[in-house]
Amino acid sequence: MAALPGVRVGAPRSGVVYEPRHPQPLNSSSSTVRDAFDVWAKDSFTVVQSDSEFRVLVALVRSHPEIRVVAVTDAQGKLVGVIPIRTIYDALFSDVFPAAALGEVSSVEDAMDIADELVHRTAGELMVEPSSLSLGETLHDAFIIKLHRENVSGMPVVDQDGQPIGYLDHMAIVPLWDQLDET
Amino acid sequence: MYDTVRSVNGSSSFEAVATGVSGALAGTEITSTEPVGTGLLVAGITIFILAYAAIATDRIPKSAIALGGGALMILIGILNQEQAFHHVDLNVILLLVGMMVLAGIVRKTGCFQALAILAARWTGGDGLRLMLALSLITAVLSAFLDNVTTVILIAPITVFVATRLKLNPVPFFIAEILASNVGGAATLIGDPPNILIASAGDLDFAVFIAHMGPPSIIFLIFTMFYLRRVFASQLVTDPARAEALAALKPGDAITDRRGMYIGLGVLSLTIFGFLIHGALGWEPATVAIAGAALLMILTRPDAHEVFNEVEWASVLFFVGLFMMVAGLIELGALKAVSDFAIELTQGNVAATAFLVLWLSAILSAVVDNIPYTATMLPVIQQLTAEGLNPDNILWWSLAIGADLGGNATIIGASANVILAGIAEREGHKIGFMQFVRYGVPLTIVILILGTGWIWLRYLAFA
Repeated sequence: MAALPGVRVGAPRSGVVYEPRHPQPLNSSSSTVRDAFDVWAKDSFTVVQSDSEFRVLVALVRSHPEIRVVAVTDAQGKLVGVIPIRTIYDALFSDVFPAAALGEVSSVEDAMDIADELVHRTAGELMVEPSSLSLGETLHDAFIIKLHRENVSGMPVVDQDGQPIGYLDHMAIVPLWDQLDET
Repeated sequence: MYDTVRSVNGSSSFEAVATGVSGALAGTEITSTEPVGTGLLVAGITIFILAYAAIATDRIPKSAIALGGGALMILIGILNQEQAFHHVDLNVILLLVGMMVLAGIVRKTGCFQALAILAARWTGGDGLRLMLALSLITAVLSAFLDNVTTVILIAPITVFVATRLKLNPVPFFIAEILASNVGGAATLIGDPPNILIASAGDLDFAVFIAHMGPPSIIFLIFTMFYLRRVFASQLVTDPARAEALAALKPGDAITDRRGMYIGLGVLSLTIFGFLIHGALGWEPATVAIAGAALLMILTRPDAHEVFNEVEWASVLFFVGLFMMVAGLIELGALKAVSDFAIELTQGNVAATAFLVLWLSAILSAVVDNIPYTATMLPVIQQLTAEGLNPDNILWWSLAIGADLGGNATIIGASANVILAGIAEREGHKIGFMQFVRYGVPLTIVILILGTGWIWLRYLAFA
């Protein structure tokens, strides 16, 4: 990945607040994102700068096919947006099968989206508003208010400076369900 | 519709206009000349002007403004609910709903996009010919679908070809806006003002296309020459890039082949139904809802999904407008406008027609042409009663003015605003003055052609 400018994969940057701890059992009322992060977070999370070109995103997906969301930061490293993997796929589809992509347009929103895919190609142009989790949030709020109601498959986790330090998949709910099963 | 236009005996003065409101409030035809409080008249006109201003600002949903204005007309006692609802023209409402259902189902099959992609291949990817082909397709589709539907299908293809050819998409967008308004003028279902005019004037589809089709074709031919002249230098294409467009496969755009065949079949049948509806004594709305029902029965789509596609905000905008305009009719305010027009033109048919055409064009360039047309319907009906509308000359003048005035500015019609929005989002903002530079000269020439058409067709040999 070193050949890809502005891309950071895997390890948190030096000096971040988060330090991995010994995993604790989770519960749905008082556990925090940090607790879930210890249990469920994957090593692989991806950060690109907002001026990264589309080819960088494609190279990222090629080398890390497990990626679901790419975090986008500004020059200071602060999270400014996210790119769901579906957006990258849609842009690739529009390039490879343009007629098929154009044929699916039936609303103003569709027209806007596909025009975006055809024209806007930097990470900053493809990203959507950042939704993120902080380490101190309860899993109760994180799941109900953010992940479930926003219908997303996961979110970047940010430190107190708004810098991404990892990614929490929505399937982090599995350990909570396991607790139910045990009781 | 609007068959209860009140007579207040000719005077255009404010006091005289107020006359007869008491009769209107009683829900009966006005025969008395009892004066009413000017307060009510002032309130009614104020509601109307404020609603127009609020619609122009585009900050509040215009359906809410129109419904609110209509409700206020009832709440302050200008109308009772029965009177207000009586003025809601269900022929217009159900024609809109029927056509929205038809267009909503057919456009999802991808057939119109396939047609545009085919055009891209046929033109060999040459930028200028492509712009003209897409404009022609936009004009033809706009005659049978609403303009907004047409431009949202064409816009992404425009972005695609412009991106692949490394050309500025703005000339394409401007050309498509101009073509959509010209094409929409041709038929009863091409533009919402036409639906309003046809229903109020009791004009059937065949009559409408017989009178508006020929001038629209003339306008379109001129528009094509104009577009070629003003944009040719901006659309010089690199032959190597043009070749890439030849690789496009139009068939890929079709998402539902069976639905496409059924959809196009039912759409053709519906257009045929429009052509013969007058002879059979049907109303256009009957044809539209029959076509929509047939298409739904044959394709069996999810009904909730289909009706979600109907632009209820637009439909309710019409409902609110009918109620607001009804208030002005009941107050006699629109009678004053028609009286003023007669005074101004001294009852001369030609002068009245040209006044309606040019005034409609100028106002439609700066305000929404739908409320403008809705307001003008009772005025034209009153002028008809005064014998100033032989051969429906005023209806055709209103249609030409209201439909084509929208070409003068970027805010002149809904399709203009939608395309401008897509262009801006893609980083190609179409400035107000930038559009005016192309739109105004074309509109002026088309209005001169329209004036000539009206004179030659209805006046010179009458």
